[in-house]
Amino acid sequence: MRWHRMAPAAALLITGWAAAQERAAEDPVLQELRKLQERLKALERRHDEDQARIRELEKRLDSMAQADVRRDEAIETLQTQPPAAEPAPTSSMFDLAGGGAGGGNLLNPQITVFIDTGGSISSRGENKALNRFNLREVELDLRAAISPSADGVLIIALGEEIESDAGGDVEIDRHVDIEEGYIDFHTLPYHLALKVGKFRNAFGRNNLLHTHDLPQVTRPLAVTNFLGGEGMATIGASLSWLVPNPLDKYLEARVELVNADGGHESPILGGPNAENPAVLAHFTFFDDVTETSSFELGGTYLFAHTSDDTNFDANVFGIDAAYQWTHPDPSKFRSLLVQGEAFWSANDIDRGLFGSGRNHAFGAYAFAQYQFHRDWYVGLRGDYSEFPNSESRGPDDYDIAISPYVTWYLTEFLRMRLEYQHRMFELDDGDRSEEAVFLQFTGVIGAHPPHPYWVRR
Amino acid sequence: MHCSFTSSGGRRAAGFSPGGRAWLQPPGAAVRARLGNTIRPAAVGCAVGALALCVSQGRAAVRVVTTTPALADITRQIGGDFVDIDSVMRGPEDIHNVQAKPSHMMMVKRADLFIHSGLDAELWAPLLLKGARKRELLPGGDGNVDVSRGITLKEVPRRGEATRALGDIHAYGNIHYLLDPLNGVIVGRNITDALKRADPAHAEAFEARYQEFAARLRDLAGRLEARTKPYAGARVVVYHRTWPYFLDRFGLVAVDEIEPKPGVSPGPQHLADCVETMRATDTRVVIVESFNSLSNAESVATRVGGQAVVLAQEVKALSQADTYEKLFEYNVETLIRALEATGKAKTPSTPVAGDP
Repeated sequence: MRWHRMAPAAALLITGWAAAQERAAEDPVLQELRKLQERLKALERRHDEDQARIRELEKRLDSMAQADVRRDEAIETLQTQPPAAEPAPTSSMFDLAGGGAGGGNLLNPQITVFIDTGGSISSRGENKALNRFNLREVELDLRAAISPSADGVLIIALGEEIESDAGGDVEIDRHVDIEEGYIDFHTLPYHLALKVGKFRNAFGRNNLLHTHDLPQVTRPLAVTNFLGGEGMATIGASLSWLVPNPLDKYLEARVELVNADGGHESPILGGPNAENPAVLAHFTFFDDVTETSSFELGGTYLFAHTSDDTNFDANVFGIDAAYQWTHPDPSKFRSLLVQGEAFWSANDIDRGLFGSGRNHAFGAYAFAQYQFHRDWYVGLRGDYSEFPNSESRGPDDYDIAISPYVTWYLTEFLRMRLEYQHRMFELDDGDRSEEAVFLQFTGVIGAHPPHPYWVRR
Repeated sequence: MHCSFTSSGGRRAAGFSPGGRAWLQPPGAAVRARLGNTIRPAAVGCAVGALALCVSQGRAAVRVVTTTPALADITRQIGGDFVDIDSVMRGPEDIHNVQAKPSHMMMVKRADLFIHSGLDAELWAPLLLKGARKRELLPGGDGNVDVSRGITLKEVPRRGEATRALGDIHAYGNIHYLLDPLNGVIVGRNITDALKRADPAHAEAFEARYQEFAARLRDLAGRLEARTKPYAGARVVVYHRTWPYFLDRFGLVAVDEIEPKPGVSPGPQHLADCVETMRATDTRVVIVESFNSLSNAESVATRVGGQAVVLAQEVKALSQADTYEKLFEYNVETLIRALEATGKAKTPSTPVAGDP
């Protein structure tokens, strides 16, 4: 059996040996010819491949040239001659700081200027602060990457603050202010990020926005009464952490240690002589409801000394929530944003001859904004606010306002907004009300830095 | 997830005391040691198995996040089972106006590669990258893949011409280069190179799959060019400046745009001007993106007895265009049907250079 199995292998070996002998015996010229023949065939194959490649490239060139010629002929009366193409960029121009125009100035910061202006009319003629045109704010926004893991941001604001006293006289304060100037270490280990410098504090949602990015013309009353006329922006450090969690959802914890020197004249913070630091803690939780809807919840706690007397301190709590929905079919141009924030404070106040005391104040706002056209949004905001620490308003005073508004984006970079506000407020001498109409124009010069997802456009 | 689970199992197994040091152990350790003698081989086996599983499954896949579904589909075709892919965009939405949500940041945070269109196409992407806090995905990092490298761009503004007076234009040129299937070959090469760097063990597989993908695209482009040849020079109106690469590839000509300037909504006067242009140039078809107003396009098209057709500007923009190849097949066939239905099956009455 074993011999039977080996027989075919032996036959193969013998046949192979015989063939090799025959080749060895072959004429050397024939061998050379055979080699040449094989090389020729290889060259032919390569030639065919090259020809196919050349044909493909020629075809591509032809079709491009024909398309260009046809286009020129067909649209000669329309004067829409396309600009000549320049060589394609061969390296990434993707700029972390925001991209956009720049081209040959890649090492310069991205420069944007926001012009936010308008005017208002008030039913109270004596309120000259609201019966005038107003250059609300001009902002120069410079930002650039300053290292692989850090960006620099400088925002200089030129603005007008108009105040009228009880007699109706107006004071205008035109100022240049560093609204924000910070270094952002955006990719630290362990999913940490750190901002150092001056920045808008992470108290809720509205306070993060610059004036030109607000969803309404005016800031909510609760924000101005608790955090300041332009919100709260202070100097210090802000450390945030993406908290790992079993659900793998977006959960951010943030702690800020900042100077308690008032920022934008914060009613809570104590001024230049107050003991530092003020401490702010904030968390954010975000989740998608569907592919095109989501919600976000947040909570804030702020501790600060309210004056140079270290016995005077303030504890401010805030909660914020938002729900946003976009129509799954983007050609419908429908979206909804519902957002609200509530503030509660317990702070020591100096009552002069009557000593000091603990003041409690509450404030809240909520708004709903609906997009009904590609470029049009309507919204309604309701406000209620007490006064945590005001020289002119007593602890029992409060403001209530309701503000419908409409926004029209002429382009991505030009926006108009009209807002009506009915405000009811209580002064010592009784209830009062005021009707006001605001008109706002906002234009963007340069590239628009990306804004938070909930700010529509 | 799977990887971390099996790894922790391994750490638990490694916690059993080595038998040779039993004299050092506290009271009760002998019982545990005996149990350990029984359990140890199984535990070690489990740990090794788990580790192997972790290595073979947990690290086999390159985790990729792309900005667009088209890039996701090309990556899927090249990466096959060796990649896990998510796309930030769904498909129908406007690439210029995407919400960079925190959930997207979490998606990017889990990725090994972030593949994007480069240029100034996705201005929302930096928010995601910063929000994800992952250094290797930042521009210049190994995981940041700009697929626009090597693309010949159209409509590049001349120096000094990039101004907002021209609308929402792109500083580096038209960003919709993937609407030419042969640009897909270049993009595929960029993606292949990135996958090979990220997972050298499967470099040959990626290269082989890329060669097949490129061959399919070249074949597709050839077939569709032949299909559109009878319609060469046919004129269309486009809603937004999305289509120059597509139209040039297939020999069609855009004579006007519904938007007066890119990103600017049309007013009644401009729509009336579009109608006049269509009449003057004997144009009957208006191309609309999935995110733009079909009613505006129809109001223009119907006034000249024409048609407005929605084409897929992006993979998954329409259900019929769920892959990169199907996008072209659907768009070409839809366009041809519209041209035939409106009597524009042949080249226009005005002779066009290049026609026989």
